[in-house]
Amino acid sequence: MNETSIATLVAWSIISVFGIGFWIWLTKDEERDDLGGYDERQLIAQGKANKAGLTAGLVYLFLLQLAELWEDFPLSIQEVSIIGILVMTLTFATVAIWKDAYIRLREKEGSRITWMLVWGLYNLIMGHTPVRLLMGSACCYVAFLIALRRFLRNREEREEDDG
Amino acid sequence: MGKNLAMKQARTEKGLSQEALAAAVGVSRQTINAIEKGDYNPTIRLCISICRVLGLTLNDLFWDPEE
Repeated sequence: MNETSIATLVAWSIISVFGIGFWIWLTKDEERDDLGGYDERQLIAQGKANKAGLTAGLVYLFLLQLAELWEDFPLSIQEVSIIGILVMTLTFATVAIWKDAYIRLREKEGSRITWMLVWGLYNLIMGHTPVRLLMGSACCYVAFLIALRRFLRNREEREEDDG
Repeated sequence: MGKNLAMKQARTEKGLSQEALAAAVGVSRQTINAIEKGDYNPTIRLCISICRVLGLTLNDLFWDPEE
């Protein structure tokens, strides 16, 4: 991967961050009025998850700079970009899921798990490219994490009820 | 921050589950659980909503004279 590729990647990352930020700003008030939104604790937890995701992204970009030293870097620019996006979104998802801030108030966990699993398995089975395999693995990981969190929470609740 | 036993007691006396109280004040059940366990410090707006549903005052639910 040459310097131009890395510069292009960084430029697109910055443009994407500003683009997403602008979109969030535009839809902010609309979401707050939405009954299917998130509550105040979830929004605070998501803020922390966003910070974790951004930090992971910055660490990833830093490691990418070191990759410049590597001759015949094995990944294409597309793969590097997808991995970068997955690193950020999966870090966000992991923290948000663990703090019970990923699923909206009136959203069913079961349906989210099902869709994630279906989409993930479809990509894993039908995807013959590394990018699709990565996307499939990411979806399965999120589905598994939501299910694990749900299982642990249900167990905690049962213990509380018994106690 | 310690456990909010006053809120838990008031909720059970009112015959409400965490899920029912959460639905009444428009938050998730996990948020009510976190408040009762002392893991989350709610905003004054949410405190007032909880007080209204449970029919008690802020002092009754969120003021601990021993702290």
